[in-house]
Amino acid sequence: MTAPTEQRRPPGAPAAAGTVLDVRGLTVEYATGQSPVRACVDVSFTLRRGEILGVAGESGSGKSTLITALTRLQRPPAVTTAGQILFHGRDGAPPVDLAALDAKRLRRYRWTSLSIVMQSAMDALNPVMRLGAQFADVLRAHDRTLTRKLAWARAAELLTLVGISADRVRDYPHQLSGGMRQRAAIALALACGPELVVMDEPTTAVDVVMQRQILAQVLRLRAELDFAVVFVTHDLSLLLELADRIAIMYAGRIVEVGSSAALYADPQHPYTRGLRASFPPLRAPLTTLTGIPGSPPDLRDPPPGCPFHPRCALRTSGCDTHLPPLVRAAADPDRQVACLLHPSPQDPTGGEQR
Amino acid sequence: MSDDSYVLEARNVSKHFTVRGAAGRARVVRAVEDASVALRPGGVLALVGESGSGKTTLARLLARFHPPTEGEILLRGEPLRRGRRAARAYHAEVQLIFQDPFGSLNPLHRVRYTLDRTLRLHEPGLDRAGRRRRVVELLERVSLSPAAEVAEKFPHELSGGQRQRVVIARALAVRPKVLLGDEPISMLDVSIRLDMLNLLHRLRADEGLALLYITHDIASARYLCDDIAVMYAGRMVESGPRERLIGAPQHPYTKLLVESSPDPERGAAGRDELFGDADQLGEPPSLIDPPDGCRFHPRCPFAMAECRTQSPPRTELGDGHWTHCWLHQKGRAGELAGTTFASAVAATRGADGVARQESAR
Repeated sequence: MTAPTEQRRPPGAPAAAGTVLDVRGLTVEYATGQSPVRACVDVSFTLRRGEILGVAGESGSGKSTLITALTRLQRPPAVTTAGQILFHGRDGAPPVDLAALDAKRLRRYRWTSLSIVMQSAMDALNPVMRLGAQFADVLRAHDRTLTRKLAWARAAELLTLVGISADRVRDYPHQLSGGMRQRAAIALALACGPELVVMDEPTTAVDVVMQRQILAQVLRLRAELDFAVVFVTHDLSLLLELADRIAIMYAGRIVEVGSSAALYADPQHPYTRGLRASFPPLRAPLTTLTGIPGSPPDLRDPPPGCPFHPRCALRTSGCDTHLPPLVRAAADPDRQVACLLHPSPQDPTGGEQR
Repeated sequence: MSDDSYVLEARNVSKHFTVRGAAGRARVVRAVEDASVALRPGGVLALVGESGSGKTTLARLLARFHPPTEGEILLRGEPLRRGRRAARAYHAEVQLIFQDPFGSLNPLHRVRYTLDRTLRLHEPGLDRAGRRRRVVELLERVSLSPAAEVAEKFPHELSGGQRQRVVIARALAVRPKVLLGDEPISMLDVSIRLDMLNLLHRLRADEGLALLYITHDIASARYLCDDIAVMYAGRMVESGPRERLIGAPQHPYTKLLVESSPDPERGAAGRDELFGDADQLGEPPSLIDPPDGCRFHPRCPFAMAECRTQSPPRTELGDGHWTHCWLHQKGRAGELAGTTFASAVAATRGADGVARQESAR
């Protein structure tokens, strides 16, 4: 309970005291067939305490691979081949590398430090167990002294936190509406007071009104319980309203990171611009939008150089041979972009040869 | 009474389904109640609402998948005739595009077969070579190229966007006058969605196709459509020209829907303003036992005595804009513009609610 929640714009020293997660060079491969598919390549970012980091990208951009790697929920053939996931606990202990922990030691961090909300709550909740029993399972696994009765009482309390009446604790998941199930899954993720909650498209299956309700509750709970959020979605216009910072992924890499305000006012990567121009406005004057021509690359055979260059209207010579690194592109320390059009002030050599 | 300028019209249609509950007791789900829509050639009407609001059922009524319980459906002003022959003639003019491009193509058949079969059924005069030409032509119309190559593929070899194009090509194979799109783009990737919207726009502009576009995404409805109709719990609550409906909603539910839609352009002061009061907006009712009066009244912060007992009559607001809401009958419509839905809800909540918000700030 150390850090205040309104820590949105701290000075940008990486891995400073306010950091909860520091991901460095994370690479995930799917070991299939002849050559492995690199679904997540050299992904690095930091997450501050209490912050909401949005991750946006299309299908196949590696966003789901990234979060299953972060939460260590990946299954073969996915393998983390490089990188660290440094978790800084609230207690001030030295950081642990979640990517290197064995299953037994990892258990200590699940639910209490890090939890996840899945896209489909029906898959996340056990259909043949009452809600209370599922909550009690989780609660008692982390606190052996808790009696069943107290665990059920705590479950009811958690449900009311997300606006579900306490008597629903005896219900089975199928007795709840889709929106309620999703909220119950969020309550379950918060059961052991995690410092970081990873949310994988938690509101894609519900409609806009329920989406706004759920997100309003997440924001309120975040202020009360102090947890950071990695929020993955394809809906950039939603992230622009919700997130503190946004990372844009394309073909397994982060191509741009910045505060929501900066990304809204001045997207720098051509892909980010294309993505923003793919959402028709609700009120602004209508023009014919063109979106992004072409389709995402096949990760089994990624294009050389910048993975976006075959679809990029602004490509110049070098885009098809040089892979631009993710570098600081402006005075804003939060702002990073991987594009040859934005040569880095610190790195005059430009991209690395591939 | 019949208006010739409409190509397809549903007039006061209702659909009730009988379902069996756990105890084997029959119950009636009132999925659509007294709904009317009318489509003009070259016109696009968007039907928006939450899941379970009856949008899909209404589209299925229009596609003749179910007969309406009450009301009638008119094609060019004429009521539907019974029988298989009449049904086929109807489907040569009215086609439905499903939401899920993964479930609506037979995985065992190549694209060519899928399209060829449609042509064989609907254009029996065409010979083999003629059908081959038409298949290529159809695939090119939905920008699937090289068409000859795509025609030989199985659905699993195509991406979601490509599959949905095949579904649209199949619908176009019969040269329909009306396309009913049931969330045709909601399962597609963002960059492909826009392609599909532009494709639908082209079909409507170039060929005078009438389109019913069902969605829960109001921004895309605005992009594609002339008019928007809003459904809630099986009833139509408001309909009108897109800019009027989005700019100044005249039904509290439309207001809620518009205000809940992500809109980075709205220039709010911050997240608190955007999400602050939105954590208790309620949920749609069960359609087995819908609320009396206006079906929205249990969630509506403007509700008054009439709303709980009597279904609100239609108020005409000019330019084809109308709504079913008691506020207009009681001279309280001005209240809608002065607040947001979420703050109106917060204001009606008791001291408990106020305390809760304070702690959230």
